[in-house]
Amino acid sequence: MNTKTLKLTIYEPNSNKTSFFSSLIAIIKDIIPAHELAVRLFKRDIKAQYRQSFLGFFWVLIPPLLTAGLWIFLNNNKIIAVGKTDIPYPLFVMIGTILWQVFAEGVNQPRVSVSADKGMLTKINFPREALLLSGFYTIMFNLVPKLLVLVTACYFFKVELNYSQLYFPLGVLIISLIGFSIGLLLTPAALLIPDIARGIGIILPFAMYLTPVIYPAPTTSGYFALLMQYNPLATLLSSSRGWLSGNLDYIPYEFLSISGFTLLFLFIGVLAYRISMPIITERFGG
Amino acid sequence: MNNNEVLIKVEGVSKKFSRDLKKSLWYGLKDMSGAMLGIKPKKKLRKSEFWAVRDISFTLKRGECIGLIGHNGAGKSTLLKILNGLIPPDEGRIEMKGRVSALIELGAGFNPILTGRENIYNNGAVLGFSKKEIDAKLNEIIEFSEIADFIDSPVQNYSSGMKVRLGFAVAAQMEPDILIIDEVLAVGDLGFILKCFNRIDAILKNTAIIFVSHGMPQVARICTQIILMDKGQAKYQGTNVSKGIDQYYSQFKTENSGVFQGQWGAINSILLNNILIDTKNKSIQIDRLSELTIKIDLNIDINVKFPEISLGFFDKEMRAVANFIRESSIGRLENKNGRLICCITLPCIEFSKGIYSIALIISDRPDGKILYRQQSIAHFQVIAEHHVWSPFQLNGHLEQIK
Repeated sequence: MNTKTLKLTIYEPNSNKTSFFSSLIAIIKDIIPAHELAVRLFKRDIKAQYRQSFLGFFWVLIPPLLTAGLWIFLNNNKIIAVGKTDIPYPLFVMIGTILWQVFAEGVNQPRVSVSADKGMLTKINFPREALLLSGFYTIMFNLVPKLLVLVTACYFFKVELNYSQLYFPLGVLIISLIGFSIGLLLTPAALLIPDIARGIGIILPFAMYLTPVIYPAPTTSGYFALLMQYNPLATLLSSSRGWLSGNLDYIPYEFLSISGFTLLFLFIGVLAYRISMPIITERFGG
Repeated sequence: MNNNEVLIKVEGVSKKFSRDLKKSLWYGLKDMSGAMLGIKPKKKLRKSEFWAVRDISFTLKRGECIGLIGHNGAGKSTLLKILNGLIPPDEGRIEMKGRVSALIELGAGFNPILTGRENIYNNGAVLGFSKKEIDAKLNEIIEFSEIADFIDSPVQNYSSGMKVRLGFAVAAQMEPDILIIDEVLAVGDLGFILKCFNRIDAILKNTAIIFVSHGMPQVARICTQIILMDKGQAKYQGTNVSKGIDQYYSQFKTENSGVFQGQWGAINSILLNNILIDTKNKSIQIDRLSELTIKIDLNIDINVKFPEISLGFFDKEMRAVANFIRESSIGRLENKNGRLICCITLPCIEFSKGIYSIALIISDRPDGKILYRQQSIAHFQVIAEHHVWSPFQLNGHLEQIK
C-alpha cells in the first residue's frame, strides 16, 4: 500500500482559470466514467416507465400523430388551406410534426433528467454529466418508434428508395442536438427558477407555427419568407424532410454551418452546466 | 500501510448561506453568471446571508475518526457537503487523499417500481461501482441486507427500515480511504445498527472517518477527536471526546415546565442541591456519584390529608430511566394547611454522563390514587469521565481474588 499513490482532491473557492481546450479535454475525460452510470440510470427510468404503463410506446407517438391528424383533417376539409406541398400532405405533416417532437423533447429532456434526480445531487458526489447523458439516451430511445412510424408512412405513400435518405438520420440527430443544446443552456437557470420551465412550455408550441412544420416554407419574398430564412430550425426541418422524401440529394451549406454552431452551443452548454452545478446544489439545500 | 499518513487536511473553511429564498435564488443566478465569466465572488456577506460554516480546520489520519456534533442547524451537514465536494467552500482549502465515500443518503438512485435486486445495481452505479463489481458482490450484499425473501419484489413495498438495510448493504461494500457518515444509521432496528457499527469498526482501521451524529454513545464509541459546532463555528475542538460531549449536553435548552397549577396542587419552588430552579436557572450540573438533594415547596388541596411524593427520571430522549418511591411507609407526610415542603436526598447518583429531567408525582396516601403528575420540573446534568451506552453506570469494586 505504501507504494500506491493516492489520488489527491482539492476543494477551494471557485477559481475558474480554464481555457477552451482544457475544458474540452476535461469534459471528454469525464464522459467516460459518466457513461456507465448514465446507461444504468437510463435503463432504470425506461424499465420503471414501461413496467407501470399499459400503452407504453404509444405515448411517445400520441402528440405528433394527434397534431398531424388535426392538420390533415383541417386541410382535407378545406377549413384551412395549406399551400401546395411537393409530397402528399399527410406525409408532409407527419414528417414535420415528428421532427418537431424530436426537437421539443431535446429542449425539455436535460431539465427533466436533472430535476428528476435532484435529490441525489445534494447528497452524493457522482459525475454530473451522467444525468445529461442518460437524458440523451432517452431521446435516442424514443426515436425508435417515431422512425418506425415514418418508415411505415413512407412505405404507405410509396416513397421511392433513394440514397439521399441516408442523410436523414444526420438531420434527425442535429435537430435533437440543437434542441438539447438550447435546453441545456436553459437548464441551470430553469433549475433555480421554475418560471423558465413554464415559459418553455408556452413558447414551444408557438414556435412550431413559426417553423414550416405543418405548412411548406414560403418561397416568395416578404417578412415571413425572411423569417424562415433566418430560422435555423426551418432549414434543418426542410432539409431533413427533403432527404426523406427524396427531393433533396445534397447537404446544403446552411445545414452544415448550423450543425457547426449546434456543436459549439452544445459544448458551451455542457461547460455552463459543469460550472453551475455546485451553485445549484448549494441552493437546492436538502 | 502507513498509519501516520494524513488523509484529510481542512484549513479555515467557511461557507455562507442566505436565509431568504428569493434572495438565495437571485444570488445563485448572479454567482452562476459570475462563475461563467470568471469573476471572483466577493467575500463579504450580502444582505440576508450568514456564515453557515465559519473557519473550520482539522487534520485527520488514517485510522482516526472525527465526530461532528451540535444542534440541528449548527452547520454540520453543510460542512459535510463541502467535504464531499458537492459544494465549494467560500473560503479556505480542503485536501483529501484517496477514494472518498459518503454514507449521507442510503439507497440513492432507487426507483420504487423496480425490484430490490435491480435497485442494488442502480444504487451501486450511483456510488461508483461498475456492473462487474456488483455482479461479484451481489450475493454478499443480499446476505448482508437480510431481506433475501423480498429481493425480487418492488422496493415501493419495502418498509423504510428495509430500504435502509438494502442501501447500507450496498454501501458497506465500499472500500474507501475516507468515509463520511451522516446520521444514516438512525433508522433500522437495533440489530442492524449494531451490524452496521461492526462493519464500520472493521473499515475504521484503514480509513479516516468523518462522523456526524446526535447519538452521543455512538460518537463516544468510535471517535478519536471531536468538533462541537454552534452557529457554524467550532465551539469545542480536541481529542477529549468526553469533554466535547459534556459541552454538547449543556448546550441543550432545558425547558422546565414552569410553575404549575393543578386541581389538587401547585408547585411554589424547587431547589436542586440548594440552587433555586427558575426560568433563568433551568438546570444544575453535578459530578457523577455525588449527592443530589431535591427540595420542593408545594401547595396541596386541603382535602388531601396525607399526600405522598414520588419522582421519575428521564433521559434526553425522554426514556424513563429511574424512579424514586419510598420503600417503607413509615413517617407519612402531612398536609399542613394546604402546604407541604419536603426534601428528597439521593446520596449517590449512579447515572452515566448525560442530561436528565425530573418528573413529580403526587398521590393520595390511603388508596394511592395519582392526583398530580408533572414532567420536567427541573433538569440536571451529570458530569463524568467516561461515556457509556446505558443510562446507569453502577458503582462497585473489582478485586482480584487469585
